[in-house]
Amino acid sequence: MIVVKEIFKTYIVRHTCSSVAALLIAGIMQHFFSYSNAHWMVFSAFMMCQVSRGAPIRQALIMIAIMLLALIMANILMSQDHFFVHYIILSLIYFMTGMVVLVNRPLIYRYFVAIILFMIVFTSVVLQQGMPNNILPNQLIDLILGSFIGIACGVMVLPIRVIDDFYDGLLQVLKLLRIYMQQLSDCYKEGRSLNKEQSLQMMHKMMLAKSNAYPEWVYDVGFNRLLRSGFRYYLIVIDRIIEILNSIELLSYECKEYELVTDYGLLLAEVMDQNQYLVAVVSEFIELKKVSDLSQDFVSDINSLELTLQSLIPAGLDLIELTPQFIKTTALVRDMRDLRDLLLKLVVALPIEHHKKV
Amino acid sequence: MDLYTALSMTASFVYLAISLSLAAITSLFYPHYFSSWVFLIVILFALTPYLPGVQSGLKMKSMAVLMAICALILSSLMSLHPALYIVYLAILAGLTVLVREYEPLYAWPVFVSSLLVIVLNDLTYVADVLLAAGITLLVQLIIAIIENRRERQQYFHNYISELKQLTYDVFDCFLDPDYSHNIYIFEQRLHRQKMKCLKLASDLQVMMPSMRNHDQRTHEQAYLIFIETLYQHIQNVSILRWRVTDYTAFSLCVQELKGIVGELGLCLDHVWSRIKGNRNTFETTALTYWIGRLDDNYHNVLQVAAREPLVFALFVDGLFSLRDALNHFYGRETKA
Repeated sequence: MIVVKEIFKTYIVRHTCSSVAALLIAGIMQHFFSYSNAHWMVFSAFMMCQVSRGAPIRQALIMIAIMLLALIMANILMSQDHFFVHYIILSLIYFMTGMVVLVNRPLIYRYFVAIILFMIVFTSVVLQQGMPNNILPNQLIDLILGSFIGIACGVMVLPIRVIDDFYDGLLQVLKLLRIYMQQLSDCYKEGRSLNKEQSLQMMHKMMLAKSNAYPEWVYDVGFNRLLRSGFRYYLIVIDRIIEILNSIELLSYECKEYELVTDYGLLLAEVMDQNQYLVAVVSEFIELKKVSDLSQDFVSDINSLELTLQSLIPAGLDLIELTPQFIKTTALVRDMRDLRDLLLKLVVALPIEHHKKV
Repeated sequence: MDLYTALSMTASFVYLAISLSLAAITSLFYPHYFSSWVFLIVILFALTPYLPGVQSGLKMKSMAVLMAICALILSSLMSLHPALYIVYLAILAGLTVLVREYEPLYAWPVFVSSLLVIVLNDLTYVADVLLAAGITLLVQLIIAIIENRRERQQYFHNYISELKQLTYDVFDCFLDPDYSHNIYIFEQRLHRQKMKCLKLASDLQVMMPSMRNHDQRTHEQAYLIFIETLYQHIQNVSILRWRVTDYTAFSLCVQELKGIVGELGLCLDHVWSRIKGNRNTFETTALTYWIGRLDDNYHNVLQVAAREPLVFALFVDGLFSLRDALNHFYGRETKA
């Protein structure tokens, strides 16, 4: 029972169920109450299932607008009896759609679907034979009914659990962040820098390993107004953490010749381990709604790193530019400090008080 | 529009023209067997996305064709009873969502099959699907001989174009005074651009092992690592946007920032020319000049006027590292 419950918590299963329900209802409605005796109801319900999870209703409305436009334009065209013109316009639409898709490859799936939607609806109207003259109102009614069924099922039948989905995505990214930090820490302990290809692959994994893991759909225009600022804040901080890790890795690579990583590897590793702990705190809160011990000292390690490395560099802004070693070292320490600040921001932003009250 | 985009557009146009002309000729000769739907089906098959060398065009299009035929045959069987047909449609819709979420690359064949079942739903159209399949696969087979390298090159071209756009977006954050008021909009744009770059890099990485020519593979792998290094450098430079708390500091070096971003765009164009095989001159003198001017500005103005002068020093150093990476690439290429 628990396993079934867990399965039905996932977005994919929920969305699949709502799509199946939409098509079942649309199919039955089309069979008994279709005005146009064509596929419009099922077709529009099917298209409504292709929206992404960020702003499904907004995307559905855009799709409806495209379909209505195509339907009306095709009916206007059909009112003219010049078949030659029909075929010329159809060919033009095919070419234009084809060119847009081919030149902009690889396209995001939902853009792909939106681009070809006009072409499919237009062709369906033009090529459907034996249609009475005043069919447009009936087609419009069917199309709107189908769209309504699609949207209603998306909203009512196992709707998207935005918060849980966001946390699920976030957890996967945090897990990869921890692995990346662990790799960096190991490298520092062993006095070597991370393999270039290894680090690049890590970066890819963080954002792309599972194409749906990274919850970037919170950036969708029209995403829930109440949640978006909070969610986007988290995502922006995580993006910045990834940027900083990327910079740290790049600097560690560049600092190799100055033996900075070899001489002060343990200090750097200690800071990285503390960072890992902070990521673990965030992950644990998201996963178990439990807060780990936060009474630890998150300042002294970074301060001691700063003091140690500052002793290698002459004081004064002008002097740090004397040699590349000074400026790279300064940059590395600054990155470490910024990374710690960002992680602390992430921890501070956790709704711990809210959960304590509940 | 650069020459490569123009060529790519021409190639796409020719590809579509050949496919549609073949469909037109065949349906003119055999009007009793084929309907006008064949054009739409040809286009739907022709647009099937694929990853050159891995999920090749031929493989993906064959899969789309097979799925569509099976789906249509099953659909005609299911239409014997309306209830069965409705359940069948619902299952197809569910399958489309599942495949889209788990394996986005295979989403298109399943989507097209479901669409054809909904729109056509008649066994008489199987002939159209077969003709469209024949035409699509024939054209794909002809272009497969020349396409692999060109397709990979298109991915390289897109990657560099997206990287260029990312550079512009990063510098937009410095140059546009609205950044501090609309952080989400700018960050969203940056995030999307970064994802595009990473997706293209990831696709290229997947394609590499399928290359048979060892020398060419080594060569292209080196290019890929170099472009990824550039991506890292650009990310490194972009950190300045959130390190600076007083955005008015950027107004003190607008000219220099504009000069740098313009030169970076040109350098990326040169990198693309090199990858294409052009041996034209590749210089970073102008870029060095603008970075030098920013460095002077830092020493004379920013160090005194900016609230956090150190972050500008690190920014200038990051730009010099980026310039060095470009020079290193140029030096290696010249030796080769």
